[in-house]
Amino acid sequence: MKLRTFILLRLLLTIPMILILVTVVFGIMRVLPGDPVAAVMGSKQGSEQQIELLRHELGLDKPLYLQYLDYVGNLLRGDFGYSMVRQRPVASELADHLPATIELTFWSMLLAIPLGIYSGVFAARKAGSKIDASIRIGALVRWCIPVFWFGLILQILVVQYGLPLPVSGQASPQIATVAHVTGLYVVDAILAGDARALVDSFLHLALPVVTLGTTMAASLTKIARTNVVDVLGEEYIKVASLKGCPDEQVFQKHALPNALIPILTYTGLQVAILLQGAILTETVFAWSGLGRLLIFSVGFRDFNLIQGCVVLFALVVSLANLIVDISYAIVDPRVRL
Amino acid sequence: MWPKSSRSMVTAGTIIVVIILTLDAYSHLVGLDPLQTTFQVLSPPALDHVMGTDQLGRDIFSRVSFGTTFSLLVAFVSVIISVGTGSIIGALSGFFGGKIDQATSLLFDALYALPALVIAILIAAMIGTGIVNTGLAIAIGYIPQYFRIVRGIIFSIKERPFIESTRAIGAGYGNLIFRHMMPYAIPSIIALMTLNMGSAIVDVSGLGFLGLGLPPPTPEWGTDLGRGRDFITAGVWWTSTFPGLMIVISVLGFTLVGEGLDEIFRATSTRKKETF
Repeated sequence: MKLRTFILLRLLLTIPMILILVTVVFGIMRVLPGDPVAAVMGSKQGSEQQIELLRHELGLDKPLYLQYLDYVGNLLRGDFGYSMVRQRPVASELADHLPATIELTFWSMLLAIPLGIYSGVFAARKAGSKIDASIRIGALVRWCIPVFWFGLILQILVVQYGLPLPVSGQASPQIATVAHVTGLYVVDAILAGDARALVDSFLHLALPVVTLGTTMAASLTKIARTNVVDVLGEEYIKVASLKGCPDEQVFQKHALPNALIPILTYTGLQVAILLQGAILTETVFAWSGLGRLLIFSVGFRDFNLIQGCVVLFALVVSLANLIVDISYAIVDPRVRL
Repeated sequence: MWPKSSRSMVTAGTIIVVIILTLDAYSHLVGLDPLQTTFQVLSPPALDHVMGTDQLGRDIFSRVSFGTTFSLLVAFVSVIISVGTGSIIGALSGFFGGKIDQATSLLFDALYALPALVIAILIAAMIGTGIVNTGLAIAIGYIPQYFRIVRGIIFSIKERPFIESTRAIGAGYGNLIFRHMMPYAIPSIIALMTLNMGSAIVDVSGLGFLGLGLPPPTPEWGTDLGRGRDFITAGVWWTSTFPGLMIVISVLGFTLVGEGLDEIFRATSTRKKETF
């Protein structure tokens, strides 16, 4: 089919998929035991009337399907509900915390993608050798290290050896606070022309990005290596080589393009895993992103905020999957059939 | 014969898993007490407490070895739940096909967008802690994988002549699907299960780290690791390091076995090459 048709169909497919995700999240929040009213009341006692009033305010006295329709309708208008704990619209909370997560994941991917893919490809070319084995073992072991423990170990090492690296937060309180235009500390520092703040932001990014980035790189190495090894075993590679094409050219013009497509699409799909890792990384490094907001809202049983975080999470991942599928279709025409 | 690298991976992995299980058994048999508080609070590793003590004076070595039971048990429960549910739904959906299959596939494709830990956090936040609860919370996130694999395999053998003939001699659907078709999925399922054990252990500890895992004073690796965080800036490294080390070793064991098995099955199976 034509590319345009594919893109259109794929875009249309996003709608039911997002709807399913929102429904699943809504279902889990409403159907599983756990009373939002009790959560809001906390340890306070209330009369029957007060509890009923609260229930009505939260919209919980309506039948479930009406609550659901209300929720979806509100979402379409950008209304994620009201956070009882923070006493603000959930959407504002999400907007405040999203940039930090974007900054963390952006720099982590910037580290992970070249590191992971290059080492995987390198290992595949030297398949069977000692260097290949070491890269494989290294990636495997790194994969098995939980992201939060890795971050903790980095913190421990910095503290034990007294290195001048910050172990938590996004910025030092001593550095003059820069105007928050975008919420992305690095960008804001550049916009304000504040060199010290810029250096400070990078220093604070160092440990979290290494933590999250190497976690992602570990799986990328394995995927890259497997794909390149598979491609190098294909017949057309042998043919190219037999036709007299020099090895380097065979690799760069025939093997690599074919191997990179599934590698890059897999990388896009890893966004979900990356965001999952970001939740844990943000907790370890006291990073004020979505992940930390989610954990905070769970701790305080702020149901609307929990729901909002997970829905936003799902939206971001759906967007990433959409981009991946469309780029795959652009690059590889066979997919559009 | 199986490729050499996978043989060594499976062997190494099995050895590691056996060591962990032995340590676990040892802690039960010898009667180590993970709950015994002492006044030796936060003391560094020494001869009497080889891994030091935590903030309540409990011996970390006891907690870490006893904790193997809990982490592995919850992970195992979650793997069983996700394998059972995902495989059955996948087999049924793949076999009957049609609109139901399309709808189910769409559902699980969408669920793929929510990684296991996020779903687990959500469910754990609602139904609370406990071995079965935590296991269930983690299991939900892994069901789509089994669904996909089993459905794919059922699809590929659905049209084969031997299925048609078995049907022709009067085999019922249940018999057909579970006795004749499912066995083809078993190698892939086993490899995936072992890999999932590793991921499940990481998820259990992740939940514990976030405070959503098994309730205190249960000696779970992730929970201990999380609680031990508070003392790092004071130079106390052993409260978080040793539980984490156990996580890495056990995950490594299961992952090695899983990766090795996966490689073996890829090398020996006749199914089409998948990219990952």
